[in-house]
Amino acid sequence: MMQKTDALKEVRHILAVASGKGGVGKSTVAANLALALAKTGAQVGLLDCDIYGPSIPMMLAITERPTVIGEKVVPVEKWGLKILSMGMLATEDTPVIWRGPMVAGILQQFLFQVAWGRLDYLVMDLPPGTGDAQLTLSQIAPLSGAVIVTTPQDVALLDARRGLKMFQQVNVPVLGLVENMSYFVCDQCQKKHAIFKSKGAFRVAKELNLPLLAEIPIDPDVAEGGDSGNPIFISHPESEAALAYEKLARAVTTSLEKNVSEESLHLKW
Amino acid sequence: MKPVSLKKIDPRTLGVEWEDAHQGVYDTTFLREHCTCAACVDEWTGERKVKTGMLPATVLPVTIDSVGNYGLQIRFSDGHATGIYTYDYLRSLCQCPGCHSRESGNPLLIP
Repeated sequence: MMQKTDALKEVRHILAVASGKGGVGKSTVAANLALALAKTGAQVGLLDCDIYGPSIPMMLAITERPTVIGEKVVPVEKWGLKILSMGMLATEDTPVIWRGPMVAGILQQFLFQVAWGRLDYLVMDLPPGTGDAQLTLSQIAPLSGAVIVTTPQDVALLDARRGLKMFQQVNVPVLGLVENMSYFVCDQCQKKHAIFKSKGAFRVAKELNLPLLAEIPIDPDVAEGGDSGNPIFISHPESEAALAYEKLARAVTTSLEKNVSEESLHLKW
Repeated sequence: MKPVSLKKIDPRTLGVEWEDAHQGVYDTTFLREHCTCAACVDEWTGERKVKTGMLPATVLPVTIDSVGNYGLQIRFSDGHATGIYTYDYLRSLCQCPGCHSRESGNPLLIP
């Protein structure tokens, strides 16, 4: 117990980025949100907890492996972030096959045996879904909050509800929803087109009594950036998508600071 | 329901102010005897391993901290710290004159 708190004692907030289903762009959101938080001057860590299909190293073009000093793993630094991913430990095309108990073990190591140092925010990119790994993480990591990434379609929104339920069961505050692939700005007419469905997440957020923290537009540069290792927040800082991430970062920090002042109690007998 | 502040009322009594302004009082030994951790309650039978009167009166809290946004963790002087008292559970253990008389069965505590 002591050792656990020690490794994370200089981390002010641990934020989980989750989604009820895969393919909604959760890792893209996590990486760009981490960069947007770092731009505010904060010290930010990014932990890719997707042990089955880690995508952060590719998105951020990281080929280095983390070093080990003593018993601690030292995260790789890039664009001002301290980054650690399962993808840095396994090779690109070997599938990572873990059984439940091993998952819990490796995730514990990722949190507690890493020299995170002083961080304002540790952004955890959770694996998609509401399974073993997500539950373990929500229970072993002292999470300050979680954001749930979704897309405007009903199916994705249904799974977002499941994600919310999971966090509620383990008492982790859900800060709000992020709607990814929200709309497309036409480069010819500059009009916003809701390609999938309009206001899907807005309605669900309202129904679940959660804030909709940001609507991130579809931008071919986002995908391009992810594949080439240049996240949009770095490659196109003026784009509408990058501005949406800045808005998200502001919403997250405000919400987290509020939670802390309200909830942290301490008494020395 | 969440607590807003904690205070040491006397060497054996914890005071918890709740967000509805309720002033909860707790004997620290009573709290320890009602710990729900796996070391204190048998996982299979639900039997309480630390029974009333078993603990020496010298066992007192050392620190009390909030855990996430749902509970308190009390570190006791004998090293026991695995118990997390969720806010709902903590509230149900209140020993103030208003709470003890109900079916809770919590002994009355007037600090």
